[in-house]
Amino acid sequence: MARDGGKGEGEKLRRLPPGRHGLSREFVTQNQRERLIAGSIAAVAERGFRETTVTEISAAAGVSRRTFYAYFQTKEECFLATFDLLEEHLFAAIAAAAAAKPSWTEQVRARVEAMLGLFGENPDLVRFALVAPPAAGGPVLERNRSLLERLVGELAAGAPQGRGFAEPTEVEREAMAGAVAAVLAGKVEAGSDKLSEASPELVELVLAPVVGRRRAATAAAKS
Amino acid sequence: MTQLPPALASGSVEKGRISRAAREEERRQQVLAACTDVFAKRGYQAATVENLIAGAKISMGGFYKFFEGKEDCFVQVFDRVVAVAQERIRIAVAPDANWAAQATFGTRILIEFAAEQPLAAKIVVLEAQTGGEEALARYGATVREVAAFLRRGRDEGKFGGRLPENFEDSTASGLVWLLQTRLARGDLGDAEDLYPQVAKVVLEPYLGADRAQQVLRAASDEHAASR
Repeated sequence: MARDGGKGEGEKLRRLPPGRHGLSREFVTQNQRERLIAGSIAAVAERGFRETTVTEISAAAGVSRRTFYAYFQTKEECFLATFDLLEEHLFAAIAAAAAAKPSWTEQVRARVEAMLGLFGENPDLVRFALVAPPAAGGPVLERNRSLLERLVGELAAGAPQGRGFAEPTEVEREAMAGAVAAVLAGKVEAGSDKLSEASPELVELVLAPVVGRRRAATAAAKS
Repeated sequence: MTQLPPALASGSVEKGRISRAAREEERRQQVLAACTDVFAKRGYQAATVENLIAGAKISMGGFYKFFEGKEDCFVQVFDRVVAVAQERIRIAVAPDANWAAQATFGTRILIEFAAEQPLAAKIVVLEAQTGGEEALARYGATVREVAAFLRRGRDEGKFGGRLPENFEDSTASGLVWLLQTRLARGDLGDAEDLYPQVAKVVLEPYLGADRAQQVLRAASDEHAASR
């Protein structure tokens, strides 16, 4: 898989200088755990969940295998911790973006763009959370599915009710979740700089079940 | 005196060979059906050749006569399920029907099939993704076939021209995701209730809401009348 050079979390969280660095123990601890999480993202994006080993995660994180086992008992535990941290950041970014937007359409647009901004800076996150899980199956796939279900819920949150607005059915929400994942995965595979182009398509996807296809397309084209 | 063409002349094919070949094919189909259940219940990764042999009630030698190994067995299981589903669609949907009718009946057949044989459906939409490179390639090709069929709706409905370029790819993935979610939790829902909702998702982007509703109502009347 083609890797884009150097914007992943792994490179951002550089290796701590050895020896006495004057950092508190809590800071180093937090830092090592986050580096292992960053390492798991980089390793999985390149190799997939099943092929990735604890050695590779540790190497990508710039720590020893012993350090890995100080934080996680298995690679699966590390993967699930990565999903936790990703969800926390993603949903915080989405919620923050919608604040103070005057209309629901504007909120949806802002949320989609916040999500694309986060994924655009770290396309490996899309590979980790959306592209690689189906081949992994098991708990990783379950996390991928629950993340997507929550994602479409959060993107569409606060839809107006009443005349001209429909409540999306369960079938529509499920179809939307799969479609959102496909759009994001498709853009990342086409080149990570393409993610920002996905905004109108995603806005239309989220709006369509509520306001109808035609109004959704018109509103999405304005972005 | 008329002379029979060679194909009709007696003795051109050995009788024993026909029945032996037919018996073998029937046996192969039984083995594939049994292996479908083993893969779907255990998952591709966890299933072993021993599990498949036990499930299909064949010997190790018998298994390797039919298949090169576990992965080859899975690919053949996948192909069989797809062939059965395609055959059902071919029988039920008139080839000269318009796109909207094909899409509506095709959706009904596929959902009824998944409801009736959830293990077989799981092979195609869920397990194929973990079933090795060949299975993954076929899974991808199947999703692209669905997308290609949907794309033909652009010629039929007046709204198709306004859709985003990759609209069908994401719609096909969305529909597959819906089936995956429901099959994974072991509850597809009532096919009679699910099918019109899914068909609506398929039709509406191309036909608009009103026309999609008309097509679905006509299909449901026709179905009721045929009972």
